Amino acid sequence: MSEKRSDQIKYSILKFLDVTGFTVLDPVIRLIFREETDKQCKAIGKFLVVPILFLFFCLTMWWKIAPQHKTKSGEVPTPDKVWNSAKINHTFDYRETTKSEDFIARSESRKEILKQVQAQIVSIRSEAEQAKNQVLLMEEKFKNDFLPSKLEVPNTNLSNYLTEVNILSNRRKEELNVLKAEVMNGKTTKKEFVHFLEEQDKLVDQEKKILKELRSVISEIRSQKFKPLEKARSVYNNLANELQFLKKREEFLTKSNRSVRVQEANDKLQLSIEDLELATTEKDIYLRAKKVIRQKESIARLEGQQYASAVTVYKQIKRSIFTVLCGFLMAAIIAIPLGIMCGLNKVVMACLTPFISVFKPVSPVVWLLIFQIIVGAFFPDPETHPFFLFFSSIPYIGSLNINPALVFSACTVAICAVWPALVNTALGVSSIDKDHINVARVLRLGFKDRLFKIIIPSSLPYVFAGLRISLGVGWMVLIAAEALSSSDGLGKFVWDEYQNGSSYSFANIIYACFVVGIIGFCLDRIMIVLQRIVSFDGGTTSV
Amino acid sequence: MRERFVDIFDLVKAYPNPFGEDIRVVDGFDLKVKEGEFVGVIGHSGCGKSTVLNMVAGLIPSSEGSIVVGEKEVIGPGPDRAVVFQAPCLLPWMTSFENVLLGVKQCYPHGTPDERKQIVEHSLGVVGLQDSMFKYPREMSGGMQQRVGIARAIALKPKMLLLDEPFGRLDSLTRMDLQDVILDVLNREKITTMMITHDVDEAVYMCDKICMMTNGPGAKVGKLLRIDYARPRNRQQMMIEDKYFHYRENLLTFLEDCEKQKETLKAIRS
Repeated sequence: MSEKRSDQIKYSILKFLDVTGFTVLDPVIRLIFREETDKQCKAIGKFLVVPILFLFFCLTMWWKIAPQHKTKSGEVPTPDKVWNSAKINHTFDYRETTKSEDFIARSESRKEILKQVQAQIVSIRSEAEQAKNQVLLMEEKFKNDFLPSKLEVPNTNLSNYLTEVNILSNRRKEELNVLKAEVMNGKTTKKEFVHFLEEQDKLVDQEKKILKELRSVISEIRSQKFKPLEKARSVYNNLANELQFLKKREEFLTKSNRSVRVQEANDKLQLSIEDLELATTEKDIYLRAKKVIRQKESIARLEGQQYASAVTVYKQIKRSIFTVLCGFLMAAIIAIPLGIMCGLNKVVMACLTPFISVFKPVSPVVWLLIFQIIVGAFFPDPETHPFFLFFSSIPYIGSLNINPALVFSACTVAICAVWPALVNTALGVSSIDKDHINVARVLRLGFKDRLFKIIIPSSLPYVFAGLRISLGVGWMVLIAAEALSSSDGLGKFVWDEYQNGSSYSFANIIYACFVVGIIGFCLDRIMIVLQRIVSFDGGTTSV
Repeated sequence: MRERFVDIFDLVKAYPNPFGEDIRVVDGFDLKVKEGEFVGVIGHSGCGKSTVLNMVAGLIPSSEGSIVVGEKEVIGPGPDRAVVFQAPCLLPWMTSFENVLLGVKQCYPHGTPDERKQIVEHSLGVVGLQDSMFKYPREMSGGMQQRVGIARAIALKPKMLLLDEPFGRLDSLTRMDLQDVILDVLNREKITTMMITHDVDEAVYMCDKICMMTNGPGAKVGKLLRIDYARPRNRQQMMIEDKYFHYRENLLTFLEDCEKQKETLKAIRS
């Protein structure tokens, strides 16, 4: 009985892997359940170990080749640098969210958090001091031990060579003077004098060249990295950053905290009200009453205030996904009914074919510009437009900062994603099994039944295949659109980094490349699963 | 019992060839069927048997002639003439229950859901699928799928049942089972039936009357053969009697003659 149960578990896991398209892991599961161990091991070796080894091979190649190519934005980042930039982005996001939480913390919880933060500050401060000492120590070492030891040989070479060159050039000057005199006397011909001068010039050039090479060797050694120093510095920098962050938190928990500021303002208001009571002259009463009103207004404003958080990668990701889903939804809403109409009616198909064939190949960039203009005209004053006010009032979506840029990005995604879905739906509807149509005819099904019981179910696999392509296209288009239009999102993140040109920028761009890829992969997987669920024949779809 | 329940008169089906001339695939097909009779149509493949059946079903329009089923001229397809196709033609996204229900809803628009359910359950029970009502077509064997197809047809309570080589894609054992299923149903319900087949034994076993078609183009009824066995029939019992072989002989000779004619025609042409 227990064996049967484990079999059930096994088959449900295998089924899950099959539906999600992770059939690569199939032998691993079978191995765990001890099914034909030899065969599974072979399969794992072939389809899991070899690809992983290849992955490692590629990573090492990247590691080796990347630093050899120097660019304007520094070396091409190695995998570890990219990983590091991922971590930095993560910490940045964590810190921003913590600060925004601190900003709105109230009463008891605020005091508790403050206590923790202050304790942390004390411990980190001592650590940071130690780290600083370490850095100083290492700098000493670098100056006193590391550099001299490396520089010794080329340095002596250089000084020796310099003296040699000095002696030679002095000797040449003397010779020149002698020759000048001889030319005047007529002992040597002028022709010989020219020859002599040429020879001298050549020698001087050669000396200069050698000197330059020696100097460059020395400067390279000077610029060489002393690993312990680098390490100490990075440890110290991290601690210093952490310390700064904690101090900022302390500030947000005390004097910059919202509730604290509201409290202060309330106190002031109380004083003003008392003042108002004491006022006697007409003018005083008027002025003080005005003051009370002003203070009341400012309190109301304070209470609604939120922490102005910097835009982190995670926020960009959320916004990008939201935008692509909006665009995709628009595309689906347009494409599916139109596609069904095209598939059902040849006249509709003939009407739409020219549009499909002309607009399908248009570049997303052109669409972006067109929609930028069109959408811009719809919302002359986006801040107060009811459309955006409505979206901002929805709890979760409101925090994504819905603006015209998002609308036209989504429109661009929609117009580019509409074609694959439309064409596939039309194909699916028009290629219904003729037998099924005959069944419908014999049963004399009405249009509604025919549509919902026969046509739509039988074309669903095609529709979802089209939607899957659409989502992929939409995601690619979106990143480009965001980069081009500076609409917040992953594309803008990449573009900003490109414009930034700091030492992390290049690594950040490559990090973003992976993020975009992984999200695209996940979206595609979700579509595959949906496609598998709706495909009645249980057929496999290409991965 | 009406003598001319189904009256097919001078039926013609013509398709234009690439030169715009009409090719008469079926030319002057005449057949009268009594109410409750089981008539088989036999002939070589490609002679136009299915074309005739599709015209009776109303799935394709006839070029000339008329078809009357139960005093009503056939204009288009309808549930009064239920068809069992060669492929089961079930809708793969529906269970067998839903597949049958789809037709029942059309035929009994005023029935309550409970009544419909009873009809579906009854007709699935008749074909022996009480236990597979909620299975999807992909979970069933070809034979079971065809049973659902039969259940779907009889659930419509049709005036006429049209079988288009219903066992063509089944193995011989399943085929015999299904032949008995259909005969059982017919013994009970007495539906006028027309079956296309090219299996001689099947035709003799199942039919009251066999209509042999000449080879196309221009196919028509070549010969009518009445099979005199009482119903319900017993396969073994029938085989013992001499007339069984007489019927068989008759059919086979006709088919062979048709083939010979074709050969000679070919020889003349070339």
